[in-house]
Amino acid sequence: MMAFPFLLTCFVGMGLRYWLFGTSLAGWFAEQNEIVTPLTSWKRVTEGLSLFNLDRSPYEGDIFHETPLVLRLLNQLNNSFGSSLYILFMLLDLLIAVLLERIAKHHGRYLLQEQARKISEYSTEAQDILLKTNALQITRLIIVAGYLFNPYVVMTCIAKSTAIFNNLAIVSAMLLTLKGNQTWACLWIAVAAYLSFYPIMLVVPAAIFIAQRQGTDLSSPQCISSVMKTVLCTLTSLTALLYISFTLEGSWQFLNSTYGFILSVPDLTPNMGVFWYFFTEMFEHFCLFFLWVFQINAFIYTVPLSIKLRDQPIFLMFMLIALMAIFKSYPSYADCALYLSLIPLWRHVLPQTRNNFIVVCMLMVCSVLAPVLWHLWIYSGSANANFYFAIALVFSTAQIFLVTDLLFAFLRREYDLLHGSKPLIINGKPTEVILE
Amino acid sequence: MAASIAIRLIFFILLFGCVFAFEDDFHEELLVKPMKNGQVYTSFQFTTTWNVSVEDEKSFEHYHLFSKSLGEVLSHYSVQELHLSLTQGLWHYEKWGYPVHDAPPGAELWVWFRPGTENIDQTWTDLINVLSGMFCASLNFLDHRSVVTPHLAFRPTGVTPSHHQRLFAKNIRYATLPNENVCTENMTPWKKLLPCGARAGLTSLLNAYKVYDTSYHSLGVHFRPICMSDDCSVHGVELVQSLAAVFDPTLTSRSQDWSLKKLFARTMSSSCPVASSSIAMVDLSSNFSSPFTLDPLPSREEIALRGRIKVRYAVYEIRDFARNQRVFNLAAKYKSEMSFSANEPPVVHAQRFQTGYGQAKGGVMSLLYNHHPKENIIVNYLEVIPWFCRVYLHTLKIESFDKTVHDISANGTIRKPMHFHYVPGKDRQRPYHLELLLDLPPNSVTRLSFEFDRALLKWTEYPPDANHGFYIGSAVISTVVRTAKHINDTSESFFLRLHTETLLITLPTPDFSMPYNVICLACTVVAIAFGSIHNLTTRQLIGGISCGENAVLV
Amino acid sequence: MEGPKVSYRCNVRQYFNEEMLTYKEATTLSSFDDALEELKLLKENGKYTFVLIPEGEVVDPGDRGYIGRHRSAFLRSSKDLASLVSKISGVMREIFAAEKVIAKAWNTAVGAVHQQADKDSMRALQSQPNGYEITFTLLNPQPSHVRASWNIQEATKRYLSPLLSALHDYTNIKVKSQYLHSTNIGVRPKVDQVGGYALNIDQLPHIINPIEAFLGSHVSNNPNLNFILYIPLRDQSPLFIYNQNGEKVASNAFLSPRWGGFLVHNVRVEENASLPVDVQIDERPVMQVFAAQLRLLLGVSPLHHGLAVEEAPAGNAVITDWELDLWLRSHCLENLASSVATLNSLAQLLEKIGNIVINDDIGREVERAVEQIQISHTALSQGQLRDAYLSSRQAKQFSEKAFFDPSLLELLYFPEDQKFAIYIPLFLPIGIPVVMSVLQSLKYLRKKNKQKME
Repeated sequence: MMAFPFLLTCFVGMGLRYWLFGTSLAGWFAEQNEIVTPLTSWKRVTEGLSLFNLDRSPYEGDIFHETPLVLRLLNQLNNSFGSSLYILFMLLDLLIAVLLERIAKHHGRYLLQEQARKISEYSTEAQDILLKTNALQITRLIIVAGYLFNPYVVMTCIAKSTAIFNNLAIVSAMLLTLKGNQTWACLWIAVAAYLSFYPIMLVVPAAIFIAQRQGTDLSSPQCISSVMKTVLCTLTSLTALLYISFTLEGSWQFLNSTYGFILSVPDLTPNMGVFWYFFTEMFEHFCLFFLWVFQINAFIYTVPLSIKLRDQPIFLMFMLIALMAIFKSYPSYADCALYLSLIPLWRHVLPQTRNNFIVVCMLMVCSVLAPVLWHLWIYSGSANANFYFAIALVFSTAQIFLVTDLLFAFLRREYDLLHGSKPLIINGKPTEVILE
Repeated sequence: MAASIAIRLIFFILLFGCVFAFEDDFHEELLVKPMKNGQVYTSFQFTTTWNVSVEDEKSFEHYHLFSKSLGEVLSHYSVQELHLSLTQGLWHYEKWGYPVHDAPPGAELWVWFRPGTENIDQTWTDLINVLSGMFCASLNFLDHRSVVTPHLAFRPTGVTPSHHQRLFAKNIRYATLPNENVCTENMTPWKKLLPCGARAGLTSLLNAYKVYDTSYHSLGVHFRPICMSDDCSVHGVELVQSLAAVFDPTLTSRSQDWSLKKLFARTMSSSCPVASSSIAMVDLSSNFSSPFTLDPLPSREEIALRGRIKVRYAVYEIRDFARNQRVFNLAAKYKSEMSFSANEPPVVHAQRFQTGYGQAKGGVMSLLYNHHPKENIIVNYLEVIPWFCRVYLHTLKIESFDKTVHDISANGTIRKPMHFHYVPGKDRQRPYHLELLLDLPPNSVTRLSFEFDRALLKWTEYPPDANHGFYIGSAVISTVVRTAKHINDTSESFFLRLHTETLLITLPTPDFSMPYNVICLACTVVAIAFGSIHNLTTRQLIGGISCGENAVLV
Repeated sequence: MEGPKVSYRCNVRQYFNEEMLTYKEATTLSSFDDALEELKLLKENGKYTFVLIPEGEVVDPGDRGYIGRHRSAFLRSSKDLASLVSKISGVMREIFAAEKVIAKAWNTAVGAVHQQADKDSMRALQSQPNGYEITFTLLNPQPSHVRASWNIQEATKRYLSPLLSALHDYTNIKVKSQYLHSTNIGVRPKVDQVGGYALNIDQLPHIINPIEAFLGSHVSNNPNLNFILYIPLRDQSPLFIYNQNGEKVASNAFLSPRWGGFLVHNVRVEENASLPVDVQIDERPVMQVFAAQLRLLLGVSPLHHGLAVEEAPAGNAVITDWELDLWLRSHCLENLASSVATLNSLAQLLEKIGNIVINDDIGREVERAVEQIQISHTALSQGQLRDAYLSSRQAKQFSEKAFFDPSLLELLYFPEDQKFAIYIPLFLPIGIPVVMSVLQSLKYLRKKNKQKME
């Protein structure tokens, strides 16, 4: 029954992309700094491939920042596809959409299982906010449509940004974690970490989820051994990938261009994050200190969030993906697109969000103003860098509002499930729910 | 008794003779070339040759005509060859032909270090600092961020030890400073290196007010080891100091007549006493189209061959004038007022310019012209791009067009370079170094283009005048030209080096007044995230009445 | 700090047999002196011999006494022991040890201000641990008139090499030479009574100015001693230098303190000789003048003592052994004093400016300097002059390296309060909630403990 809407959505999505690839927007998107970064730009990949085909190491200079395995993969694909390489990107988008549909299905099943397990703790007044099966079925269609027609996703695909590989790895990791397949989940997390450094954080929610399948008590020895096994498996896969790259390249020079580049942020090309202007204007003496602070800031939210959300590891994974997209060193629309596409999985918490309107307005305004102000700065010369930086700040703030709002809504729903959604009336005054 | 006197006399004479065998020699010459469009090209060349080997450090302690300050520097930093030029203005090849010493606008320095020199990069850094102090030029900015090791473009012009060839090839360093302004404070230390100083001989003509008023002037210092004997068993060193200026006498007068008095506002009344030869030459090639007569009459006329083209020179021995105590004021009177004709363009010349718009991307395009009707000319093209213009090698396109149908937007025949050397740049460490060996077809224009991205620099890396832009140094084109009328004759060829225009690139600038503002804003965003998540994770949701400060919990 | 204290050790002995043999063979005092020196097995710096010779002998030093070229002094022995001892101690303290000279050297180097300008201490170059450069210049502004040449390389070897080899272990002296044709002296000489030309004493300071531009070295930082031989212009010949009494100076040369010397060499040119005239300069008289000036500039002499004692001139050796000892001693003390002063200044600087970052290298240099100073002090107190000098030289080098290290200037001007403005925007908004929640959790724990106790 659900097959026809799916196929229609996929077909229209692919058709849209195919049409856009033929217009001049493709070239324009590929150069916009909000969509592509020095890590993901296709022009740099072309440069790296041409150097590679001239038997020079692309890592000698400072232009190419893809990992060696991706370099060789793209070289093969380029040789086979030639000028119709855009079909590959369309197919990858389609694959991610399919994987998201699978995620929605397994996640729905998982939510219903958890709900059935905990129904005894819930208050009686919470009936109307319980999950229903058919709503979860509709989620599967919404998530696919949401992904294929999300303007950020379309822009990323048309720009041929290599962030699509990163998104694919993260989505596969999430799916395999949901399925409970420990080895494959670890492998895909390792692949995601290999491509861009930050997804290594996702080993924490994956380990928690897989351990919880053994039993609910996290301090029992089987859980601990399961967690250790997950972590070890991920690290081993990552080391194996790095070692294979070393063997293919013949030296560790590529580490400087990939991980070294992500961690030390030498290239100050403007993008939608706050790193670039901060390090442009920072005094030389404090650069190293603030670099450490910002990189630690990207990882530190793992600790409090894991403790708070230890019973909902998939939501934890989502939160980490979102925070990663905001605080990584070279963010772009691709990272934002990923977690925006995952929001429909928690459609049931959206009624509790408070900042919907503001966030949507901010995001829309930023997306429209960013290219305008870029043009004014770089081409017209009437604006300056501050304007573009302001838009980047507003964009980051909008994302932060969105993420924290979702977290609050999630926690509020948990509270409502336990205590009912109607406020208590004591001494004639209505009570509110506050944080204390 | 008589025998002993005779022996003493012989000994004395021998001693006398030995003493006066000074090992060095100084020559000075002036070349004046009136051009068909009314401009006058003057080139001074002061040559000191010294019969010591460049590897012999002990000899560089006692100096006669060779300048002590320069000799100490060359010996201490184990320099085999040094070429420094300080130029203001661009040499227009199409109008003026080829100069005696070619130099790009700004400062250019290339040095071959002796084989066996350790740590050449450190030696280069020390050498540029010393030269910077010596010539009052900002040569200390030629540090590791702009220096390259050219592959084929620069070969040693002096004698190199044959057994050291392989070790030697990496001992060269080349760097340019396109935005260097040249003024009197550069000419003064340059003049100090000359044995005669500013008082006698050709140096007395060098009036800074007039020389620095021209559209093109160039100072040069060239040092190299040479053969002192025919079989090259004895080596010596040669120091050539050159000064070139292109005057335009028609700007301030109604006729094309020129004289040394008019050009330099000075005349010569003496020749340099320590010079072995002191001559002035006038190039008579333009005498056919716009005839002129010279006063005084030349001592002799000579004919020189340059790649099979005969050039007639009128030669003056200045010492004869000085001996007869006549003032030497070389003057030319033209038969007709202001008869100009166009100069024929030379065989090979080039142009380079920027393409693109905006401050995010850009491109460089070079046009290489080959005007020879029958021959292919092989040129070496060297391009050094600073690191903040990130060059995309895959956008390099080389096309050839027929000279007559050149249209910049059309597509010509795609060509591949014969040889290709590329060193990609690294941020803040080294520039992009591209060398190509190209084969230019006869009567053609070859178009070479590539693209680059402009980087945003840290705010301390911008110069005080940030919106002026940054300079990209000239491209260097080296070739050997045969201008033989008969193709079979390969003996007469000459080496040619050309420099193209420099480019001025504007980079996007941040707002320099904003460091604390940016810190506050960026930290605010991070703090918002931190604060919200901290709140949500450390606090419980509890139902209660919040009335102001005190919350009553239920 | 107080000045240096000198202590002496002496012993008396009889002559050896070999010494008696040489004494019998000697004809003059100086040959006896040389012969005695040959006999010495160890030629140590800082050990002096007084030879007492009875009256009436062939090599009688006479009433006044004689100081040889090496480290010996010859006195006539007499029955009057008191006067003999006073003579010996006079020679020792005033000439060999020259206590006044080394005290002055120490005080100047430490930084004391003299009441009166002292010509002697201002003339010689200060002690330079890295060495000196000596440049001989032949200044011939009219090469069309006279073509002069000199074999300066040979002359240096013949006349200066004893001095250079004596100082070779202690300091690095490089000798270079050049010809200058492109400049002239900065003053116009006046006509004097006898038809020549005169340079008065008040014109002398302005002579060197236009020449100075050609004399520096771009390669080393060592001080340059310049010796200029000037051949006057054709219409300013012959040129003589007159002193303040209006008399011609015999050597026709003058010395510029801490800079070098200037000698005017007049050339006789026949009336109708063909120009340019080739002239080969006789180096001997020229080098004698320059060597004497070099001695003054290096601080080797003179010694103003009031004693009536005959001193052997240095002659070809340019420097006598005891003069070398004196030079070593005073320069050693100068080095020590200036390195102590430098280290003191560094310490004061660090106290005053709080935010200088001191690298480990600088600390190591300071430690090494202090170590060398201590070694030098010990060696001096034991009379080992050579080791003391070498250690003091190293001490000065290390202390200067530490004080002039470029890294000291890096953070000099970064104000403390601006550091606040950089750290606060991030850490205040992050710190406050964290601190509050820590306090809250402490309160909660305390409440729980109280509840448990109840």
